[in-house]
Amino acid sequence: MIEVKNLSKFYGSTKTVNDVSLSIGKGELFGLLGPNGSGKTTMIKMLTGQIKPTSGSLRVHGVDVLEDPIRVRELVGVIPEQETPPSFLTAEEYLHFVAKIRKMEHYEEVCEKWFEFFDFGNQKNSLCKDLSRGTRQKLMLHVAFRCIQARMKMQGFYV
Amino acid sequence: MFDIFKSMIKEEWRMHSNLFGNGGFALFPVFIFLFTFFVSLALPVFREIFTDAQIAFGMHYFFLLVGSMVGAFGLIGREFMNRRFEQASLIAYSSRTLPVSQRLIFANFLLKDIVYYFVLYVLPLVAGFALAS
Repeated sequence: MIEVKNLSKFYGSTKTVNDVSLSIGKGELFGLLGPNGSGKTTMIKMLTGQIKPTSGSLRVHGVDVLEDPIRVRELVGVIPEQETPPSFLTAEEYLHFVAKIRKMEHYEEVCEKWFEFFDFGNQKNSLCKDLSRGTRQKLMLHVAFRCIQARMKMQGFYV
Repeated sequence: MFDIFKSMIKEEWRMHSNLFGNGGFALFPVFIFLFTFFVSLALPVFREIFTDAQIAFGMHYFFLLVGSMVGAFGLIGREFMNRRFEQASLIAYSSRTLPVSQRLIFANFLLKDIVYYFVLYVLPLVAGFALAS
C-alpha cells in the first residue's frame, strides 16, 4: 500500500527527514509519532506529492508519487494540520467543488447525508470563514472521506 | 475546468465585498465609470492647462501607482487576509489536498484575474471614456 525507500529531505544543511524506509500493508493502521521537528509533516507532504524529496522513492497504492502526484491525491484523502477550506465558499459549495474535482456523480444527495451525519445543522450555507475551527475540521474530514467514495465508485455510498 | 474558474470568480467577489462592504464594493465599477466619464468630459479644460504629453505622463504615473498597490497587496496578501479573517484560505491552495495540478489552478487563477478585473476596472473605464467622448 505504502512503500518508502531511503527517503530523505534536506533544507540546506538541515536534515528534516533522513534515510527513512517503511512499508505499510493494506488494512494496517499506522501511527507516525515523533517529537516536534522530527519530520512527520514533511513525510506526509512527500507521500501526498506536495513536496519533492531530496532523495529516495515513494509508492502509494502502487503509484510512484514523484511521477504521478495527482493520481496519488485521487487515491488518498489528506487532512493537513493547518489547512482550512476556502474561506469564501460556503460549506456546501466547497463539498460540491470537491465532488466535481473528483468527478463524482449524484453527489448532492450524499452531501446532504454527510451534513446530517456531522450535525452541520443550517451551517452548510455559511461561508467557511464564519465556521468554527472544529466545524472546518469536520468539513475537511468530510472532504478526505470523499476520496474513498470516489474510489469505490459507489453512487450514494455513505461512510 | 470551468468549475474552478466559476468558483474562483465567486470567491474573489465575496472576498472583496467582505473587505469593503457589499453595497460599497458593488458600486465600485459605477464609481470608476463616473470618474472616467467626468474626467474625460473635463479633458478639453485640462488640455488648456497641460500639454498632451503631460496628460499622458500623468495617466502613466496613475497606472504605475495602481499597479504598485496591487503588486504590494499581492506580496503581503496572505498575511493581511490572515489578520483580517483569521486563518484565511483560497481555492488557489487546493492543489495541496485535491487531485488537481498546480498548473491548472494557476491557469484558472490567471484567467479569473483577467476576466474579473476587466469587468471591474477596464470595462467601466472604457465605457466612461467612450460615453464622454
